[in-house]
Amino acid sequence: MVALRLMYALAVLAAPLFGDGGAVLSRQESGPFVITVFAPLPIRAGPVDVTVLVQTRSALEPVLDANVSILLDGVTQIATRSQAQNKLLYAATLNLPHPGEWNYTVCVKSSAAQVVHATFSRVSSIPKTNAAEAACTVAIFGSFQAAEPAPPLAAYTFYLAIPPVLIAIFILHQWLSRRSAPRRIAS
Amino acid sequence: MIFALLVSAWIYVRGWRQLHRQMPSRYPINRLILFLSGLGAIFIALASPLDAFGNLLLAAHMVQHLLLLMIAPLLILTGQPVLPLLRGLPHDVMKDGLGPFLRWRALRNVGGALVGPVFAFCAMSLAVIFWHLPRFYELGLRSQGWHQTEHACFFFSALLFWWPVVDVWPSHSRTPRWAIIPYLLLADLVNTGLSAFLIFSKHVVYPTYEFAPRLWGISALGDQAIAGGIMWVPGSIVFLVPAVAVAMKALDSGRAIRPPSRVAQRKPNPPRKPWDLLRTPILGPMLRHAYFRRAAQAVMFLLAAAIVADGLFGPQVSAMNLAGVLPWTHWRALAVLALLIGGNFFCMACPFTLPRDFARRFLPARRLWPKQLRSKWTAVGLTVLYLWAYEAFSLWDSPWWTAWIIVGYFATALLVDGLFQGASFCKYVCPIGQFHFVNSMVSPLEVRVREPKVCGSCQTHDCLHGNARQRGCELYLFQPKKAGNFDCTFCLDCVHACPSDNVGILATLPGRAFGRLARLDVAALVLLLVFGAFVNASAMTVPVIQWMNEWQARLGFASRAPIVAAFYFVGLFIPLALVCVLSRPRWRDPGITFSLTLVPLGFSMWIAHFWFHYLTAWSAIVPAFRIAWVASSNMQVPAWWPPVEILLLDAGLLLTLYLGWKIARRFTPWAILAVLLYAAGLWILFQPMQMRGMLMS
Repeated sequence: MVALRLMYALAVLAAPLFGDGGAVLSRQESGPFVITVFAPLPIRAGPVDVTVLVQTRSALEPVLDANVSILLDGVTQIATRSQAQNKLLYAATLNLPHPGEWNYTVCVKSSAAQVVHATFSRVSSIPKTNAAEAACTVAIFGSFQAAEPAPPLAAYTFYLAIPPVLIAIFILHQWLSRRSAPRRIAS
Repeated sequence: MIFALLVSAWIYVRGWRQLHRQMPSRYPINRLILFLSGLGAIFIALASPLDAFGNLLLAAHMVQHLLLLMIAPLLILTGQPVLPLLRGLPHDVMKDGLGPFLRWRALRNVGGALVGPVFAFCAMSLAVIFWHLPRFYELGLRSQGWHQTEHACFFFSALLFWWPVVDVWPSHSRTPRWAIIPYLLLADLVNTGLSAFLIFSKHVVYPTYEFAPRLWGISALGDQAIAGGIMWVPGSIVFLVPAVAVAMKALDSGRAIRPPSRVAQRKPNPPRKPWDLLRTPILGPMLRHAYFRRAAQAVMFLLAAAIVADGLFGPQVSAMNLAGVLPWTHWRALAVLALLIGGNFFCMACPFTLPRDFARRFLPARRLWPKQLRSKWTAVGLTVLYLWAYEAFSLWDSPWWTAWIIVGYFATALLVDGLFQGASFCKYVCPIGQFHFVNSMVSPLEVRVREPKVCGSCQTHDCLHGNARQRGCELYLFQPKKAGNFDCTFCLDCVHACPSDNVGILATLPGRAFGRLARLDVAALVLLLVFGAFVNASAMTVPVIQWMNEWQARLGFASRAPIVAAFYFVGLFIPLALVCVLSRPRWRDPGITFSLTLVPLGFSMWIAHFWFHYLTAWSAIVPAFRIAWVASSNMQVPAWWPPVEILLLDAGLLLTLYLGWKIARRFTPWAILAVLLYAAGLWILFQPMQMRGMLMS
């Protein structure tokens, strides 16, 4: 079974350069599941890719047939494996409108359907015990700090640096060409 | 990264094929297989499922490092890549582009020092030790940027390390071969020390794996021991096998003394000819087929008919109407893409000239186009009118008006070409044609003669005048004197007419023919389309729209048209002023030529603009065809698009500066203008955009 799952994972994974999520934000055991939440660090206000790994508690096998939904300020985001680059994970892009401290709740229904809910809410705006959590049979909690969003241009420094770098290389190229030109004529 | 691997493979294969012909003993087929296997190892390390497991299992991460440090560089260098990679590049790039760097003695000295055994050993050992220190290893796990840096350090330091071991040809290592044995053994010692530390450590060295979810019940310590084992056993084998091979070679005195044969039987390569689209296996015969153009035009004609019918009788919501979606979202994006990767393929499949061609059997078309109008000024005026009307009357949002514009286009083409000879409509009237003529000057393909010598002996000039079975060029372009793609509709009449089969669609350098187009009307058209790209794109940004709304409210106008007119006047005033300056005799010739060099920058802005719309609204084709109702599809710009937009502008700026520099070394005012346009383009791209022709949730 493990070998089959591994083969399945190898077959369907179309992993690009880096996997999802970045660092482990939280890993907690709850009910029949072990739930791990990943997020890129530092978390900044704006779009954030959050990924969730759900494993069975007994064998630590990845649960691949769960339905994952993430709530942010009352808006439900569906996290799916199709959105994840690593197909062992469930991914969704959350939009954090402000920097500051955020609570999150990953909520797992231990029913046969294995429905997993993750709710994200601002500390100041929504209390932890909301309706979504109340519906959960098992839940894990945590919090993180969202920093100020990165200025958009700074995120593209590499691409903006290309013209000056290439112009510098071109100037060097011309200098070398001119330096070697008289020698060739003389020779 | 996959793109980089494919390009590397392509360049190597290209160079290897030439060298294999010249030196089959030095470049046999196994060199090619080894090099490609090395690229495959990089792919497995960085772009396969292995990478996905890297953050969860240290063992998987270690396999990845093993591939980058030992397998991939060793395979790549055994493929003797220096000459194939140099020979695989286009000749001019290799000779004129890389030549000065390759001849630079200081650079050669630095290169020699880098692949010297002392530096190479220190570089790889330090890279391995440094990145396996818990603090830095954790940094790599947490940050994508540092992770990439770590992998780059491993791969490039390993290339240096394995260079003296493989003794890559044609460089000559000054290190005696026997010294490679202790070199490899020392490296194995470092590897063994590090792996033993991982195996015998009593605690988890890298905290991430301690807290990471455990897969299949493998404990963090167990995972660490497996990783150490992978590093130790296969790692040592990779170091020791070459050491044994070198030792055996050294002991075999006969072989050790004999220097590698440097000169093999060289066979000359056939002279290089530019790549010809018409000589490609499937596409070539298809394009050359007598009825290909007619078929393409018929398809476009049917689409145009559907657009007109839907625009006049369908729902007047642009996102639900073919007239709102096909021309403004799909057609524009695909047309500029065709220009970017090929040439003027829209004019080749132009639907407007199809009924004209049939109607010419009945219409006289005997008159010559008036002498006073034989310039681009009519088209300039119509293009200004189109740009203004597009914004002032929100043409993209009016299927009804769009349908009437298309009907008007058909009627005008029929009227003009029904009365006048040749393709007067295409050459002097059609704004769409002018857009394609101008931007196809930087396209990579061009309809031109294959062998100029053949044209020298031609007496009939069939490409221009035609013959009994095929008409000549309707735009009066004489192939041997044709200036790039300007005014060329890619109709391929010249290809069919040439009795010597001497016209093809050849690869060309962008902007090759700028020097032969020094005309004031052409310069005016170019400046209009370049500045029009920025004005047109900026008019969809929220700040500009707010600014227009504010002025409309302040002045109390009921319509937005006068404000748009003022905005366009300001935006296009600059090119008009430039045209005025250029018309002075002193500035005329250099100014006109320099204005043409701005084409790449303007074209890059058009592509960024049109493809933004396409990527955000392509799915509107579904409700437009009534296949299904998509109330709010995911209309977000893909994450990869903003970098591509910047790269397009980068390429436009660099090509503009290069062409300007090529024309004359002193072109500072034009360079400043190009940089200002580039900055304006960046500002526009980073503004929130109005989503046009889209169904918003």
